[in-house]
Amino acid sequence: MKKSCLLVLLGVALSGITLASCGGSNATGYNPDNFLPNGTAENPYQIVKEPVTIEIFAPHSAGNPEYNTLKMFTHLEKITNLKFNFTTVDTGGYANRRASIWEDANYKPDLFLFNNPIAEQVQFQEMGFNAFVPFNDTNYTIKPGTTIAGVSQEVQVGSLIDNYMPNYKAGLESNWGVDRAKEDAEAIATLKDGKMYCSLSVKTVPRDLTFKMFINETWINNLNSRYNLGLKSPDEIKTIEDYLEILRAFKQYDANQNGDPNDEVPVTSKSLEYLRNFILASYGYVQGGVEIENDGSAFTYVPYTEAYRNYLKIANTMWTEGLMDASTFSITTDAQMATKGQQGVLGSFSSAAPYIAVGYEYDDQYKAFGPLTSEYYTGTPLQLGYGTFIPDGACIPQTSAYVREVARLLDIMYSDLGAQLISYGVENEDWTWDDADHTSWTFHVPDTWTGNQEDYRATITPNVGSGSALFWDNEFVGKMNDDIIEDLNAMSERYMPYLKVPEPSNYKFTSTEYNEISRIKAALDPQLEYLEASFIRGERDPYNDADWEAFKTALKGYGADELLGYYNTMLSRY
Amino acid sequence: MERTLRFEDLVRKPKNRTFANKIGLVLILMALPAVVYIFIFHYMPLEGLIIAFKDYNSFQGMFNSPWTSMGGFQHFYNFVTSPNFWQILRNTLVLSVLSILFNSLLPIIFALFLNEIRAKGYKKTIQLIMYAPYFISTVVLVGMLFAFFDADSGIFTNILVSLGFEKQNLMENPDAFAMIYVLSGVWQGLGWWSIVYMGTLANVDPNLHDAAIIDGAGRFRRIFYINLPAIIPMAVIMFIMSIGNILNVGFEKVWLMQLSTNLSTSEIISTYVYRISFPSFGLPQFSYATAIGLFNSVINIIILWAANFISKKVSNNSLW
Repeated sequence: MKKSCLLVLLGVALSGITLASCGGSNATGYNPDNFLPNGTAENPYQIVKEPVTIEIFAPHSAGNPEYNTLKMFTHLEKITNLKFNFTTVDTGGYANRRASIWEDANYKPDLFLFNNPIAEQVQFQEMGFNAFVPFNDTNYTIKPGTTIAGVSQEVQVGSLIDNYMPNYKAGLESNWGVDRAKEDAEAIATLKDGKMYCSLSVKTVPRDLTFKMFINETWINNLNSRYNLGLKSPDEIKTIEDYLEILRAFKQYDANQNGDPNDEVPVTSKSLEYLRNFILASYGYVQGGVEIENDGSAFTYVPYTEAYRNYLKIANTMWTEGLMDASTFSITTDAQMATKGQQGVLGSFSSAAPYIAVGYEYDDQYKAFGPLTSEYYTGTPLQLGYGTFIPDGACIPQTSAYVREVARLLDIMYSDLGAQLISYGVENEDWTWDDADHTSWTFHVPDTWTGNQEDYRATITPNVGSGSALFWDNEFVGKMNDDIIEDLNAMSERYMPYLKVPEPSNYKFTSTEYNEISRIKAALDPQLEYLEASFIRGERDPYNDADWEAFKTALKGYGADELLGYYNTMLSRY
Repeated sequence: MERTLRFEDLVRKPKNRTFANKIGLVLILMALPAVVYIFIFHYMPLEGLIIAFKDYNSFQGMFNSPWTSMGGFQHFYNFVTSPNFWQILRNTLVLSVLSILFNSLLPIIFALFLNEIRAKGYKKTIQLIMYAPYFISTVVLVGMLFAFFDADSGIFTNILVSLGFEKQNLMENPDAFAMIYVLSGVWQGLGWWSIVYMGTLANVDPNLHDAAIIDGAGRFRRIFYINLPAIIPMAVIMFIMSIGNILNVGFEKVWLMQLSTNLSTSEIISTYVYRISFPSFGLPQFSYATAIGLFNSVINIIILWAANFISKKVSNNSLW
């Protein structure tokens, strides 16, 4: 009897597993009449009359609870009448799992949400796989196999953007308020066949469009008042030479006034991350790889340039004079940097926000500064830009029957409501406007919550940890009533006029080029990193012509010319 | 009538044996789970090797993806002509050979000496202390190494400075990478790896030692002429098995210890495969990564076969 019961239980469990693994909506039984193209009079957000389940594949950060418990999604379920079934993969292994998802014959999602690689879209388009629904195809129909009362028929869908995504369409038309000459959303979203296989990730919040460099204003004031050094304030620092002078003062004097003139660390960095970009920008380039020239005429491999050599020289000076943290090359996490920051010994650093590196005790001592120029480069200041539009937002597989339903769902995510939900949750539950004019709003973390604010936000939105969002809107996010965030927003604004995206997303490689570049970079980038470190640490001399030529020759041997060739071949197609 | 017991009566006659006994059914059943496990997890995935010869994309799948150029050997060609091929091969071999040497010899020496300790309490304490580091995770171990060698506050850095050496973080030094990798590995695994030799030594016939003592042999002579020969067959098998993994240097520890400053010696085959599999640009290169893995395995098998052949000729000990 016991054995029979066990066998039955085992059978039920196996059937459950099998059924659970067969996701997707490509099965027959799709009812087109269940779809509400314009919602209802009472609820314009309602998408279907009777609930249907949408299978969603998405990356998942360890800081987030299960997505089906997140307030954003439970609220969307409530207003749309859709049900969501998530298959999530940890962000660390997401790219790999995402790339192999098509192997699983039993799993057919209705939506790939976030982090859809452009290289995959290009490859599938080139090979004519018809894998994704083109958002702007006016002739698109849901594939045969869809049945109504057992009779197979096609459902005319047409252009999803024109017919079902008014918010997204308005965004594309207005370019989300961004100067089209700088970044063109439509061009970025479109492949060479004129189709858009993926919606955009749109970010307009300044603090998330670049990195920030901070310097200790209190130390500068201390040194000026005590030693009358006449050091420039953070806003007055305009050149890399000004910056170097201040770092030297930090090193020479007891800038933090704790009685020990030797404990100051003038500048630290997490493995040169962003410090490289910041210094290099003062010589006319914003990253240490391939970068488009300011006039857009060609791509340049920056390590070949004199600008890069100047960067190596100044970084070498910082290292040999003891201005750069001796642990720079072994610091690999924010936590390691914070160990020093919380001792009040850091003069300058790059971080998402000062409190992350130095804690709340010293947070208000630091001010953002830059971008800088130099005696070598006197043109317009430059700052690395991440790009407002990335073509990786959401893709709808052609195997899905719920194409129109998913399009309407995505459109909500591009609306004001969607921007609020992905950032801070539901109005009057998670946050409230402070005034009738909606000039600011306040986020409410329950008194009973024991973690920090971001931990709580992780119970609302998948944006925490992964940073994923279809629409990260400054019109809403920028109005948050919070002293630290307001300071951070104001400090980030200084970089906005100078942003340069070094590899503009509107240029697309071919599938072969993506693969070849990936292969070259796997060997070239570590070699460049190693040689860069050896120049900065003085094992090679950036002032020595023979060392410099040997450096360039080594990079050529690792395929730098070939790499640059692929970029410029791609550019010549536009 | 009195029956005389004959020798033939005591011998079990073959005709009395059941079929199950004849084929050793019980032993087969005992081995079955292991065979099934090996088949499912080690043989069935072998079909995936086919993508090493293809330009794999998951939409078409393993079998329908197009064959790559050069008769299917394009990815192998790319690897052996890659500019860092000799560098990563050399780095892999240095770490591997040093690890095999240290990890093969030191546990034997440790086991031989530990076996000579007579005070049971002291012996068990030593064993416990030596086994404990094995249970530290690699992440924690590497974290400890970074703390110990920190340029400002590291205990080892301070010791080296007090001995007159230059103040530096040895973790950043490419020349010290292999030494730190191997010695930290020995520290972590010495006690654990010696277990197998301790087990072998426990089975040495005490009569041999008694006879040797009567013959006037001292402790070192008995170690050399009794204990050492007893563990050599096991040591040879362990050594050959290590040789069979010569290009399979563990990824995790090297990756965690890797810094931009030590890349010239810390970039090995498995870290390179990781960069290929999780690229910062483009799509994961599954076919290329599989080709490198297959290349590794073929080299490993050849070296394993050679080591086994030599061992058989020289010492009469071998895996097969």
